[in-house]
Amino acid sequence: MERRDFLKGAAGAALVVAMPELVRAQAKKIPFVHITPFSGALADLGPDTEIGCKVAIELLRKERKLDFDYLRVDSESNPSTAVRKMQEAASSSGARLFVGANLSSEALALGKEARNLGAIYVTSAGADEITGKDCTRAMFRWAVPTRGAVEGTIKPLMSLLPNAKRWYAITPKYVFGDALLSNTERVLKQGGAELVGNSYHSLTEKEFSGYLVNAAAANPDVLVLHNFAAQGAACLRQAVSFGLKTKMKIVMVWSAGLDQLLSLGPDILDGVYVGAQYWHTTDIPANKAFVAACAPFSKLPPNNNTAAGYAMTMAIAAGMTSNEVDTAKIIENMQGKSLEGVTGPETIRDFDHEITKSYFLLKCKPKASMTNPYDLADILKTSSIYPTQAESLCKFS
Amino acid sequence: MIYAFQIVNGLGLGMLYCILALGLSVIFGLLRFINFAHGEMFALSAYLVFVVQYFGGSFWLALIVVPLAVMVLGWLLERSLIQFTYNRSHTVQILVTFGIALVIRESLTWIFGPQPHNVTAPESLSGFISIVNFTFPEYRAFVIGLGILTTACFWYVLERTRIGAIIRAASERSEMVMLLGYDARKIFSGAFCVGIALAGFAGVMFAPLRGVDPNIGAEALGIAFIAVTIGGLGSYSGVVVASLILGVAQSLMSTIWPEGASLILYIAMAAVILIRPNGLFGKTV
Amino acid sequence: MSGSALLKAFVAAFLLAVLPFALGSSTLATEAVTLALPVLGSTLIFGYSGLLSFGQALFFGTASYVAAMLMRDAGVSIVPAVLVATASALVIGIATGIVSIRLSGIYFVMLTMAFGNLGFFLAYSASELTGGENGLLDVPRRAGLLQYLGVRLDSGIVYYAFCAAFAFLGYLMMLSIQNSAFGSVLRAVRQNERRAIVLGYNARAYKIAAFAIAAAFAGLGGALNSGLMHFVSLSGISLGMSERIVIVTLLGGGQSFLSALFAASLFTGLSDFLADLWPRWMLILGLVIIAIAFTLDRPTIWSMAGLRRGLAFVTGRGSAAGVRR
Repeated sequence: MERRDFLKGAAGAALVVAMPELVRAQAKKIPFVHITPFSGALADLGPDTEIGCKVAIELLRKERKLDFDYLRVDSESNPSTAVRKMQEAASSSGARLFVGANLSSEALALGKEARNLGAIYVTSAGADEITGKDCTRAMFRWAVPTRGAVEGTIKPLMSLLPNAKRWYAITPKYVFGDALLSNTERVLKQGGAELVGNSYHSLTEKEFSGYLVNAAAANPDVLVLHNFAAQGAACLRQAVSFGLKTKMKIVMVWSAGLDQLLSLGPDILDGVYVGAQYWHTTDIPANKAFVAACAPFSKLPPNNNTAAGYAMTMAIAAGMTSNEVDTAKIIENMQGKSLEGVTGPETIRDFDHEITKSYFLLKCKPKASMTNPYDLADILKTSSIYPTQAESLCKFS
Repeated sequence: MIYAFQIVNGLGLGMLYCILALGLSVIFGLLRFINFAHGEMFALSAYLVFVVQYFGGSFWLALIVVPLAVMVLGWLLERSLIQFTYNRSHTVQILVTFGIALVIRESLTWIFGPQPHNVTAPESLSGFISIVNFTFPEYRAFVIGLGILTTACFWYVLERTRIGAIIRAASERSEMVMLLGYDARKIFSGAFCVGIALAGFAGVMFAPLRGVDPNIGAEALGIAFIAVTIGGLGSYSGVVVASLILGVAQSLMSTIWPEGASLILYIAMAAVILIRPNGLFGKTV
Repeated sequence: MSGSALLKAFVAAFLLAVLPFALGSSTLATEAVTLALPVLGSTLIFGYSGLLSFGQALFFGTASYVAAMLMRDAGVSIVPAVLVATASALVIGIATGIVSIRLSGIYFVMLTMAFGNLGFFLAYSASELTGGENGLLDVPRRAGLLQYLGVRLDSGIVYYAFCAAFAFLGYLMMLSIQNSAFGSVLRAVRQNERRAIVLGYNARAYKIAAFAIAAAFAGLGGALNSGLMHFVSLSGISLGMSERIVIVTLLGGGQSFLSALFAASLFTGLSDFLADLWPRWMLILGLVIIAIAFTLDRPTIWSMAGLRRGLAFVTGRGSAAGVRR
C-alpha cells in the first residue's frame, strides 16, 4: 500500500472512531432524576409516578427534541436517604433536574437540598409548608394543598346537601391532619353548618371502631374523613361495615386516587364522596391524550401518581428552551408559564412556586352503573382554590 | 352509655387480638422461643385469602384452607431452620426469625406489589346488628364468637385432655417427658405448627376487617408482643386477659384521649415489664 | 499502646481515610460514620454484657433533635452543640439503663423496644418542638471557632473529616476500654455474674455504665447526623433505626470494634448500591441475617472474616447514584 493511501485510510479510520463522539456531543442527554419511594412505607408511590415521567419524556423527545436521560432513585420513604441520594446524583451524574412524589418530610428536606445544590425539584407532596413557610426558590409543587382540597370538597358538598348542618370529623393527629381540620372548621362555619365533634387518632392507627362509635353517637348528617392512604381506606371500610352509610353521608377529603378506590371496591364506595387530585375520566383533550399515552405502560388507567409524574416533568420542560441546563434561567422561565394540564389549565406561580391545578369532588357509584372496572366515580365538581399572595407564608430566602 | 358500648366493642377487639397473641404465647411457652416472624405469618395468610378470593373461592374455603397451608409452611420452616436454634441464645432466635420475617414481607411485596388490596367478608355476614341505636357489623360478631370458641377449645385441650397434659409437662420438664417415652421433638414441632396455625387463623379473620398491605405483619407483631408481655410469656390465661384489656383500653381511649392510645399501650407495657416482668400471670423464663 | 492495639488503630485510621473514595461519595461516607458510632456502642453492650438493645434510636434521635435545636435556634456552634447533645443522650441512657438493666434476654429487648417507641411517639406528638412528621429543617453547620482554623464545614469532604475524627476518637476509646480494668470487669460479669459480685464488684453498676456509654455513642452519631443532613426527621428515632443499628452490630459480629467499623461501612455502601438495583433488596438482607445468626456464637472466626470482607470492599468500587433504565 502506498503511504498516501495509508494516511488516507488512517485519517478515515480516525474519523470513524471519532464519529460517535461527535454524534454524541450533538445529541447530549440531559440527566433527569426521578427520586421517589420505591421501598419502605410508601413504596407504592414509585412505579406509577415513573410511568408518568416516562410518558412525558417520550412526548418531549418526539415533539420538542428535549432528550432527558431518565434516572430512577429510590428515596426509600426516608428523608435522610432522599437527601443523600439527591446529593450523590448531583455530584456523580451532574443532575440538576429532580422530580419526586414524596412524603412531605422527604419533600421539605429535598427542597432545601435542591436550593443548596442549585438544582430544581418539583414535588407532588401535600404539606402546606412546601409552598408556605418552608418554601425555597428551587422547589415547585404540583398538588392542591389542604385549603383547596377542603374548599373543593366540603364547600360544594354543603350546597349539594343544604340540610346537612351537623358534621363530624375523624382526623389523624399530624401537622397535616390539623391543617385539613382547621380548614374544614372554617369552611363549615362560613357556610352556616357546625362541626359537632372531631376524633383525633394516632398516625399508626388501624382500628377505627372506637372513633366510629363516637361519630355515630354524635348523630351527624355527614362524616368527614381527614385521614388518607392506608388509614383512610381502613377507616372507610370499617365505617361502612358499621352501617354508617345508612345513617349519614361520608366524605373522604384527601383520597389517594384510583388505586386506593380500587382496593376498596364499589360495594364499599357506593354513595361515598371523595376528593381527588386527579381523575382519569376528566373530559379534556390533554387528559384524553395522556390516558391514551399511558395505555402501553399499564392496563390500569393512570392514577394520581402517574398524573403527577407526567405533570412535574412537563412543568420543568416548560421552563426549558433548549437542551441547556441553566437552572436559574429555567426557574425564571417556569415562573408565570401556563400549561394545558391533565386536570385542566395550570399556571406556575412566581411567588410561591405552586403549579396551580384543579381538584375534583367525586361521587362513587354502585357496581351496576359502572361501564368498566375503573369507572368507580363521577366527577361532580372541579375547582382550583389556592391562597392569594397576600395570604401566602412563602418568602424566598 | 357510649362507654358501655366502647367496652363491649373493646372486648370484641380483644378477642380478635387474643387469637393472634395466643399463637405467639404457645410457641414461647412451650419452646421458650421468640418468634419475630409471627406477624408475617399473619400477613401471609391474609394475602392468601386475597388469592383465594381472586380465583373465585369463597371466604369459607379460605378459612379452612389457608391456616392449614400456613401451618405446613411453618412446619417446613421448623424442620429446616428453626429446630437448629432451640438450644441457642435468644439473640440467635430473634435474628433468625427476624430474617425470616424480612424475607416473607419482601416476597409478599414483590409478588403482590406495595399497594393495598381488598378482601371482602362473606355475603352472609355483610350486614349489621342494631342494638339500641348502635350498629355492630355481623362479621365482627362472628369473628368474636369464633374467637371465644377457639380460645375455649384451646383451654379445654390444654387443661382437660391427655395431649394437653403431655404438652404442659413437656414445657416444664422436657427430659422427663422423653424418659417417659414421648418424642419431645414431635411435641415441639407440633406446638410450633399449632402456634403458626393460630397466627394464620387470625390473619384470615382480620383480612376482611382491614384489607391487606405489606405493613400489616409488623403491626400484628406489635400487638401480639404487647399482649404477650402484659399477660406473661407462656401463660395462656394471662394472654387472654391481657388481650381483652388491650382491646378495651384501645376502644375506651378513642373516646377519652385518642392520640394517646398507642402511647398508653407502650407505657403500660414498660410498666408491666418493670413491675412484674413475668407479666400478670406469667411464669419465670 | 500495645502492638496489636496500635495495628488495629492504624487499620481503623486507614479505613476512615479511604472510605469516601471507596464509597464514591463523602456524604455516603459520613452517613456510614454516623451509623458506625451507635454500632460501636451496641457492640460494647452486646459483646461485653450480652445485652441486645432494640431502642438505641431513642438516644440517636434525641441527640439529633437537641443538636439541631441548639444550632438552629440558639445559635450554638457545632462542637458545643454536639457535646451537649451527646451529654443529653448519656443522661437518658443512665436513666433508662438504671431501669432496664434489672432484666435480661427477651425482657430487656422488649423494654428497650418499648422505650424506643415511647421516644418516637413523644417526638411525633411534640410537633411544636420537633416539627412532628415534617421534622426540623434548615439546621446549619455552625463552625464557630473552627472557622479561624480555616475549616469550612459546608464542604462535604471537610464535614466527613470532622465526623471521622470523632469516630476515630470513639474507636480509640473503645480500644482502651477493651484493654482496661473496666473492660475486664465487664467481661468477668458476662462470664459469671454471681462470681463477680462475690468478688466485690457491683455488676449492676458496671452494666449500667456500659449501657450509658453505648447511649452516648448513639447520641454522638445522631448529633453529627443532624449536621450532615441539615435536618432531623422522625426516622432517626424510629424502630426502623433501632433495627438497623441491631442488624449492623450483628453483621459486625458483636465482638470486635474494628469489625463494627467495617460492618457499618459495608452495610451503608451495599444497601445504597442494592437499593437502586432492586427495591426488594431487603429480601437478600433477610437471608444474610439468617446466615449470620447461625455463626454468632463463634466470635473469633467471625471477626477475622469480617476483617477480610471489609478489606475486600474497601479496595473495590463504590456505588452509583442512579441506575439508568
